[in-house]
Formats: sequence, structure tokens, C-alpha cells
Amino acid sequence: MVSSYLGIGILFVIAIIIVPFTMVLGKLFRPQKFEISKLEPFECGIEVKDVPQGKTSVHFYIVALVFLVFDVETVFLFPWAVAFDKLGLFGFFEVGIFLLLLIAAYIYAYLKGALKWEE
Amino acid sequence: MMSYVYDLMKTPFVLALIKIVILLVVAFTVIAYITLVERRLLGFFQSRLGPNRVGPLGLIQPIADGVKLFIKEDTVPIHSNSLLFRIAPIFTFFPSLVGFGVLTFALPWITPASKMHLFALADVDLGVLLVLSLSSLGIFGLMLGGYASGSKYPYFGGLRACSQMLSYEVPLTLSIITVVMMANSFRLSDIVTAQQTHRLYFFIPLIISFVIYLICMIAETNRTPFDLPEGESEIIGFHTEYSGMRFGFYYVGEYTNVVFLSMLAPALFLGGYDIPFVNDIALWQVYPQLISILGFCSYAIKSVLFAYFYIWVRATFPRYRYDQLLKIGWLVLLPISLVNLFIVAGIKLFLLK
Repeated sequence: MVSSYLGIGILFVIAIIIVPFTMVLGKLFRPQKFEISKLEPFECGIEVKDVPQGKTSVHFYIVALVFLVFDVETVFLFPWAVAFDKLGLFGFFEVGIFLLLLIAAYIYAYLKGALKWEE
Repeated sequence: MMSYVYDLMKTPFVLALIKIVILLVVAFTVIAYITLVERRLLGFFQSRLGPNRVGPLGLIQPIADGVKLFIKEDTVPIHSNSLLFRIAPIFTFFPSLVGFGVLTFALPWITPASKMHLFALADVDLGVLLVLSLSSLGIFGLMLGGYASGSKYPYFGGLRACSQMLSYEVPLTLSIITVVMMANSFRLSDIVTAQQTHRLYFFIPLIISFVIYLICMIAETNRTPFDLPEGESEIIGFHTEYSGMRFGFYYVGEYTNVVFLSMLAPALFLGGYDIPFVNDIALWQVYPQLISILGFCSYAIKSVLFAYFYIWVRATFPRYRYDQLLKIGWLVLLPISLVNLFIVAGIKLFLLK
């Protein structure tokens, strides 16, 4: 059934093109007056000292790492869910063990304090 | 001449193109008017009138807003990464728009001449997976928008938005997996058919998944109890540096997401285009066109209920603090959805033989 993906493909291309198309079209209508103070970053009126260099609180990295573990897990769960009736009892216990391992990882992350944010 | 046009319409490419044009026109109208409906309803919730000056009942307000955004100047800040700054709004805007293509809006419309499916653009067999992968793409828009602005506050806003959406994506996926498990298919029309043949909407056996889905759909679209990425008047968010139509695309993208997730929810949990208390499939064999149209209306009403739920929640609840938000995601919803997955598997295996 490749043909049913045709509509999605066309819609995908059109949906991406809409934004640049509107921006180019808008150039005919919108004003463009250059002024340097307009282009400075927003700082509540204080003089701009520096721009972000990519330094980030380590909590965000930890959230991303924990997310990665569980997102990969859901990838493995999808084929199991769609073939659930065929796999039956075997699949149930297999995924049960898989989930228990993940819950162990979850408890480990919790005990390590990866899921704590208030300080 | 007419027969030539008719033959041309039957080629898959032209047919798909016509459907896409109709879909986009309807979708944009709905998205434009949900902004008006939201502002009017919020007004009523707060004992005021809301916007009612532009046209009768304020009906021209969305068009006026659109024109205003369209003719505003577009600025790209000096410290920004200008390529990423220009690309970022696309990522918020297009994923949920593509998602509309996967939905099936009614049972097939059968005429004597042809058996065209008028109410579905592409009922692909991996519909649910496509929807989930597209919704993950939406994160890039927020993260890149914050990063590329070259300004501190949008940078932090982007990080906040990113980690919030990551946190709530896992419970959302796990709750949808239980639906896939019940229906044994990724195809959205199969999920609806499974609910029709069982004569049981999935929100009854999967009540926990349903509640998790409701919470996560609000968090994924950054709406009010979870609107930390950008609180409209208080919190400086990821699109602070955006102006004009680029900001407009973030704004429209958020509402596209709202409309899309509230159209996905009925298909997953409320039986989609099934008409309640009626045996649809049997009736459809007798009156195909009538049931098709009534089913479409039923789907529309169910979707409106979810869209109203969004606005209702927005008018009711105060915002969460950031650590509370992550706590709800990781310490409440994730364990519950894991256990729920296990329970649903057990019920399906041992009780629903």
C-alpha cells in the first residue's frame, strides 16, 4: 500500500513550503526599516553584556538521558503491542521481564537523584 | 470535456491534491476560529465579553489578527544564528499539519459510480507511528527557536520547553501503546473499527490511559497548567525575539497542535466517527452516504468536546511550578503508565479471551 503514502508525501512538502512562501510573499507588504537598537536581544532594558554560549544546567542533560532510555524502550514496545495476540503468554512474560529491568533502571536513577529538581 | 475532467480526478495524484486543498482550507479555518472561540469563552469564564467588535460577534477578528501579523516588520536579531532562526518556526508548524492527513474522518462514501474514500487523505498502515514521530519533530521548533535567538531568556525558554516536552512524551507514547495493543493495529481506521465491532469505546477499559493522554496532550501543546515554555504575559519564552509572521507561525503552530491532538483523541478513545448507541456498520451497508455524513458530524462533535476541554482547563487551573511539572511527568505519570501497560496486557491476555 505504498500509494496511500502519496497523499502524506504531497502534504508534507506543501506544509513545509507554506512558511517560506508566506514569508517571501509578506516581503511585498511589510515595512523594513533598519535600526540597530531594534535588533538587540531582549534584556528588560539593561545593556546587553553577553550572549548564551551553550552553557546549560546539568539537570537538562540528565532529563535528556533518562528520556533517551525510556524512549528507546517504547520503540521496543511497539512491535510487541501490535503483535500482542500472536505472541500471547510468552510475549507477556518476556515484556514483563523487560519492563522490570527498566523499572530497576528507573529506581536507580531516582536513588541517584536524577529525578530531583528542587534545591 | 466533463468525462476528461472526471478521469483526471480519478488519478491518485490529482485526487490527493484536491483532498489536500480541501483539508488545508478546512483546517486553517478551524484553527483560525478556535483562537476566537478560545478568547470569547475565556471572556465568558471571567465574566466579560471577549473580542466582539470586529464584525458581528467578532467573527472577523481572526482575519484581522492574521493581516496584522502579516504586515508587521520581520526582525532577525544581531546575535542570532540567522539560518536556524528562519528554519525553526517551520518545525513547530508543519508536523501537526501533516498529522491531519493520517486521520480518517468517516466511513467510506460509496456512490454508484465509484468507491472513493472521500473522508480520508491517506489512511496509512503506520498511522499511529507517523503521528508520534511527527509530534516528536515539534520539539525542534521550540529548541532551535530558543537557541538560535542569541539571547539569554529565549535560550532558557527553549531549554525549558524542550525538557518539558521530552518528559511528557514518554507517558503519552505509553498510553497510546495500550490503545494499539487493544486494536492490534497502527492504522487509525482499524482502531476505530475495533471499537465499532466490540461496541465498546476504549476509554472505558483504558480509563487510566485516557486520563494520562488528557494530561499529556495539554503538556505537549504547552497549554495553561503547563505553559512554562511561554506564559503569555508573565514568562519570557522561546519566541521572545520573534516578530511578525514568524511569531505568527509559532502561534498558529500551537493551535494546530491543539486541534490535531483533540481530533486524534476521539479516534483513539471515543470511537472516532462511530455514532453512539447505533450499530454503524450494519446501517452503513444500507445507507452508506447518510451514515458517512452523520459519522463525520459525530467525529466533529467529539473533537469539539476535546477542544473545549483545553479551554476549560485553561480557564480553571493555575500554572504549575517548573519542578512540580517535571515531578508530575517523571514521578507520577511515568510509573503509572508503565504499571498501566502491564495491567492492560494482563487484562487483555487473561480476561478478554
